[in-house]
Amino acid sequence: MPSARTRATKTRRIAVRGANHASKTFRELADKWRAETRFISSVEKLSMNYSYQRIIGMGSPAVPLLLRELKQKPDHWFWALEAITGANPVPAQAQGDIQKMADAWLSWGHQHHYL
Amino acid sequence: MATHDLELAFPNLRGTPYEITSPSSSAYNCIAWAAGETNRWWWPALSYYWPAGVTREATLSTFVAAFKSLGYAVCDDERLEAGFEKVAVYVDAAGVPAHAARQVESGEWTSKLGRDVDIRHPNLKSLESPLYGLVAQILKRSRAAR
Repeated sequence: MPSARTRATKTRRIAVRGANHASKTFRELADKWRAETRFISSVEKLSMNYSYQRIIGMGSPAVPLLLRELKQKPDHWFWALEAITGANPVPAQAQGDIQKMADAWLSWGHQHHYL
Repeated sequence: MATHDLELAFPNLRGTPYEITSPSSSAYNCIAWAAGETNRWWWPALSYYWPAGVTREATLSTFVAAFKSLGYAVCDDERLEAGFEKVAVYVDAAGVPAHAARQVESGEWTSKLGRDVDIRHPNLKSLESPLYGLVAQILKRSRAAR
């Protein structure tokens, strides 16, 4: 019978491996989405892209990854964040301003301890 | 960016005197650029900019209404008219707006390509493609009204 310490160590290792896997998957999907949608203006088409939908399908583990991505390179991750969290922190005066939209989400991320 | 990528997406550009006129930017899109803005992404979706009072729905009629709110009126052709600025709305195979271009004073057209670059292209056919579809509506307004 493994000790409580051994079980805890194993659980931590599994969690780290899971986080690393989610991070790698996210990176691949985000890069693919950027490449496939570079010429698209339609927010619906940007968001219905297969890679983008897979990121939404990752659920809550994608939220800190999306927020970090927004911080490094503001882009159209708002639909995904809203779909996963149900939140929409973008004020009316920031609509369409990608930097201000990103700032609103980053502030929300801090408030909700995702960052 | 490689012009090869552009010509793959928009085959009608091949062999024409188009020119890349800006770096890539996620800050604005083709609709904003056609309307003369470079600081917001215009689209009738939640959280994006759309002119006040215009229905938030991605249809040709709402895009026409958005440009009408800026002083444009529908017109019949893409010919250069002294004193007027024209915009063209492209719709995809499903009839959904996919792109807008604006005519410059030389008679050429300027377009922002999604999150990518701005280009100057000789005519509207240059960007007709599976991605952007075909031009469905042209509108014009006095250059003085800009």
